[in-house]
Amino acid sequence: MTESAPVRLGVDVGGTNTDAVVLRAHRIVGVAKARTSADVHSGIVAAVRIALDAARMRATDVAAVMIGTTQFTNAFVQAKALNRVGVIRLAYPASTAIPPFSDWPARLAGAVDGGARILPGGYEFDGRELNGFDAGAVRDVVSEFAGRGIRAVAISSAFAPLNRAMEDRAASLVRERLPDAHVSLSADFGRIGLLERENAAIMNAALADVASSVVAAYGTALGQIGLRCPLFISQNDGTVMSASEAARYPVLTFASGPTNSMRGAAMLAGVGEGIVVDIGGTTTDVGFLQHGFPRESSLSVDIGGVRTNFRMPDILSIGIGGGSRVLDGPDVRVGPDSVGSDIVTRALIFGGDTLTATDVAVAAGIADIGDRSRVRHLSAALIDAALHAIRGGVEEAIDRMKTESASVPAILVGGGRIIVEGDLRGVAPAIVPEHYAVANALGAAMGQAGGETDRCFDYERMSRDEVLAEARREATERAVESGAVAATVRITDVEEVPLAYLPGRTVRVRVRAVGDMKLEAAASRPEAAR
Amino acid sequence: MRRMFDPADVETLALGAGVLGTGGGGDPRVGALALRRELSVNGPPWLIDVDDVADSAFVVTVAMGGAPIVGLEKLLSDTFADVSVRRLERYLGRSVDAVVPLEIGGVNSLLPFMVGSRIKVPVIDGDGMGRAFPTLDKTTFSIFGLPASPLATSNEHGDGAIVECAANDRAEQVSRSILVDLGAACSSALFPMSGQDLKRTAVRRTVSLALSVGRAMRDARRAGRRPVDAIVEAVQACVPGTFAKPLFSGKVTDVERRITGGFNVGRGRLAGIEGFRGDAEFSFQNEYTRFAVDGRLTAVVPDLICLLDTATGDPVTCETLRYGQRVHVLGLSCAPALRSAKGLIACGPGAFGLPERYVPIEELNP
Repeated sequence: MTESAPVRLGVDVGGTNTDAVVLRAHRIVGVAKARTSADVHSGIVAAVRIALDAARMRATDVAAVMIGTTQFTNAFVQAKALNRVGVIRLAYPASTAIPPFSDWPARLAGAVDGGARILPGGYEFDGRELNGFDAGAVRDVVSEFAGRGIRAVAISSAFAPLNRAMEDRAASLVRERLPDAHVSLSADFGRIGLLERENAAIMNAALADVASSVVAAYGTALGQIGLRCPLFISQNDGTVMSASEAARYPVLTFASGPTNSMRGAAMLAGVGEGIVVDIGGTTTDVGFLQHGFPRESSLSVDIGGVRTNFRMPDILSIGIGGGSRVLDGPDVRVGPDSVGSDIVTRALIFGGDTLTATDVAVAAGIADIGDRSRVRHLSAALIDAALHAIRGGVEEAIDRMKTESASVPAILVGGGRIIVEGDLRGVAPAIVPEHYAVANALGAAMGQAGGETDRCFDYERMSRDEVLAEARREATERAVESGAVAATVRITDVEEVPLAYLPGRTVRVRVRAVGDMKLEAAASRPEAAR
Repeated sequence: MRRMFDPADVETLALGAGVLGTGGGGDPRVGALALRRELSVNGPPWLIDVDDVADSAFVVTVAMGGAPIVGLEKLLSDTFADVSVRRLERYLGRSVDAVVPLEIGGVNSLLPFMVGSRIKVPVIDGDGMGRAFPTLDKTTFSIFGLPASPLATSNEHGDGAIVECAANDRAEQVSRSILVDLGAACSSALFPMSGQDLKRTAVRRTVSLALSVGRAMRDARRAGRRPVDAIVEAVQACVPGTFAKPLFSGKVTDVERRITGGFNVGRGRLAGIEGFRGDAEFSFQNEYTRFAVDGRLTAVVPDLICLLDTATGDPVTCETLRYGQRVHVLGLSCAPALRSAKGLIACGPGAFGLPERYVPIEELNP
């Protein structure tokens, strides 16, 4: 059986390293780490080749490649190669005191703002139209955008999460005039909160060109290796989307890194509930696992200073990592400054001149890398104080993420994991799994297929049980449509929001379903198929 | 005294009002964005002391009404800076001479400045609570017998109504049902009063207080000091005789909340940190209402209970408070008017369904 089980290849493209993991029947059969290259794709090629060699497999054995990437987040935050976005908000005369881009940092607004108009439209909380849709006004604005060379458009409307019809109508008018334009709709992203949801749509539109070129580059890299299987990209909820979907919805990859490392950690440790501590070079990310998935954040999340409210893992990030600088003095401090990926030249143990958290761990004898003789001069008091600061920071972060005071299992992963050893307060047990350094790529490889339904039901017309059954069925169908094996689909989230001030008993129900990806073993697939 | 409101102070005011909003009042961010824009177009208004208003002046309060979730979708309409004030002026046949904030906390502490900027009238350095509360009866205006009616309310289309009721609780009830029909995010102009009424009822210098608190927090962060200590100094310097003291520092170990009658109601517990021992418990109804350490009451409404995140120094609202968060708890004495017999009926412990008798915070913490 094992021989014919589909082989998955997971790749994590990080700022410093590109990791690859080869999986057969949920078992790791090959791992690799390569430096992330400036062109990104040659780093992917290198990591994948090493991993396949380690697994003694050929490219044609692979049934699917899943890539997790921070490239879109980085491109946005650094304002690199972003599209200018024309924004149409359907809400006039509401919201006019706060036009689109009001809360953007000047640097990003300068790169992205391609003109924004607030036009009649949108809905009231009870489904009434806030204002009639004005097709003529939309056409005029689109013509103006076209005249100025705008090729990416974001559309938002008041209460789009309850009714997206006007956003859809506006989108079709944009496509009439600008058939090749990228169009992002707020209804596809966040939840209640017009400004944050609109921001997500604008970010997505701003990334349109970056997304299509990055996705194309991934295809080229895989082609060079001879991989002819489907390519999937990690989303931030533990599921994957096809390469063509990723080119359309790049913001859904934001924060997929922490999600992948948490899911990978869960699998490595065989634990579905507990804390994951992912220690990198500069930061430590702490998250909470529920049913093998990260808990979702209920608050708004800032990306590059722009506030959004789309689904994100609830992650607490602290400025302590393997490359954190250690400052000696009456009050020994660790981080938040870090040498980052330069640790390989700047840390004392590697012949550099900067005292880092990793140097302290080596001096204390809890890690054994580099040249230990170069940290022999460090005093026991300094070592103790620095380790105490690291442990204290990590323990406090763990405590903040727990939902109860009882001890919970914690899984320690990430390349910087070596700076923490032994038991941690509030944790039982502390687990350091094998392959802890490639949890992220493993999480990518384990990406699942998901589906969601999110709409309003009237509990006076249907019983609550009937409503929930219907919503579960819809979510399950959508998960299967996006590639899940029907038998493996399960409901991961049910949220009911009563709209208390409405007549009747209207409740907004959101249900999410996920299942294992349906993959065909390479052998049973026609060679030419993609 | 009369000075120009400094546009650079918008965020400072929002921050300070967040603290004095004692966990309620909503997110002032939307209000701050709208105010910044208004000031850049129409210029800053004057800020004047209560006692500098002429007895014969015509003064109104302005406030947003409706459901918070609707405000998140419809934000603020540009027209809210004058539409309801103009409606009330037309109805009463008089021009407004100044606007006074209804409360300090959230968007309602910023909206009066938008109005002042747009219609070119001064904003009064004072308000009707000296903090935030959820309903109109809990204002000093109401406690001292001023009618909230006639009040004008308007939605973004300019559709609206004038409400006239003999009693303020009826005015609130009637206007709430109109608000729902108007789309549940409306601006209102209410408590039309004379300068003489204002002097008799308003809590003085609360805008200055919010600004000093906001400034002290900002400076403390820059200097690496605890904002909570800086707030204590700022409050005592700004309103001499005010009781201000950090009551506790703790980690949230439990929060339970439910929506009852449109209010965000609940309670929670803290375990002591940073030198504080024992367990504390608190209750809230939109704002924090009660705080006790090891079963002993240390603060209760109408005195102010403010929670600040220990890491960021930011005020922590009842809606966002969650397990594991570390907070400093700051207690402040409320405006004396709220401690009068009528004040305590309107906003003392009994008004929030709490069993305790009111004891001033300075007596609870000798």
